[in-house]
Amino acid sequence: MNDRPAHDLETSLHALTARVLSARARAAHVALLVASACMSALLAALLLTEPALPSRTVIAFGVLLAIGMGWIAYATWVLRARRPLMARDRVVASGLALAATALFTAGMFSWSLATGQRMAHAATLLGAALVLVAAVLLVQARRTRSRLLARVRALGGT
Amino acid sequence: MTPDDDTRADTLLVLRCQLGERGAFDALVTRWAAPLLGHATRLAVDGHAAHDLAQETWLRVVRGIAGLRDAAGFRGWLFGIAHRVAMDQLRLRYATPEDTGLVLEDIAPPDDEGPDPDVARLVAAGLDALSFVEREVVVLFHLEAFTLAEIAGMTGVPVGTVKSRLFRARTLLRLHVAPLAPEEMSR
Repeated sequence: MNDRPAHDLETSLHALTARVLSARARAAHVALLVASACMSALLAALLLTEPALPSRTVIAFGVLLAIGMGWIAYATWVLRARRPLMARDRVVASGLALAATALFTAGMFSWSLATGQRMAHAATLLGAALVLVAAVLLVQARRTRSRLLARVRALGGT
Repeated sequence: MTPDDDTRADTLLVLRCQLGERGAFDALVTRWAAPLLGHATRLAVDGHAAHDLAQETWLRVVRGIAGLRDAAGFRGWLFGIAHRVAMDQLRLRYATPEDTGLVLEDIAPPDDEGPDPDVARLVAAGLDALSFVEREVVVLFHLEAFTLAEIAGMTGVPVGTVKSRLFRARTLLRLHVAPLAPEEMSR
């Protein structure tokens, strides 16, 4: 009934696994997610704190913000459904996200101290919210990894 | 290797996959490629469709394994995904179950007495005579040795429906396999 031997299938399944779990593709989507989140925070801060902007500029920034949110949704979908992150990947990814958002927030904080602009204050607050999200994700990822490692050890694995 | 050892080995591999060890995915492929292809071959209309079914099933396994809560239940989860992929393929082909003319009320429901090795040998010869849903339930019960409850969980139908399908399939198999039975039994 079946024309192809099992070892052909095994070879194609190995290739399929490698394609889905490509480190480069998943890292690129993590980077896209973090960059989009930081860019969106900056644009949101601008729109929230600069009421005197010309209407066409507001529309342009609004479109850019919508694009940024779209990239966030796309990267999140890819990392959840198409190219999933496993427990150790999630620890690394959320650690990188924490570092990147902390850097962004520190930069905005320095800017707000130097200039006192409302936009910089708002960007700092939004950056702090991103830091909080990244920190929660890191804690969850580390818990999941610890739980899995404990189960592996309980079953006699190394 | 006993069934317990198999389950433990699968559980360990699944946990290592969930941790993100690439070697564990390769080991899981090596363990399950042949059984998965065997199952797909029994469900699909031809070898090409079986290969596609096995590949799509594995794709969903890789994408979903991080969310598998019960690592020890990997085998049932895998076959459940294969069921859903097969149903999707079936929908794409716009296939409908054959009308065999049998009335379900005339058939008594089977008990969950477990697989019978003689029946298992005979059903392999008569699977092609069955529609997809009947063939699948026979394969899962008699050849893969899942319980009625497990099959109900995999296929998303009540246990009573599984029993009906199984008994209907057995009846059809008797019709198609009966001429072969004396020869098979004498071996």
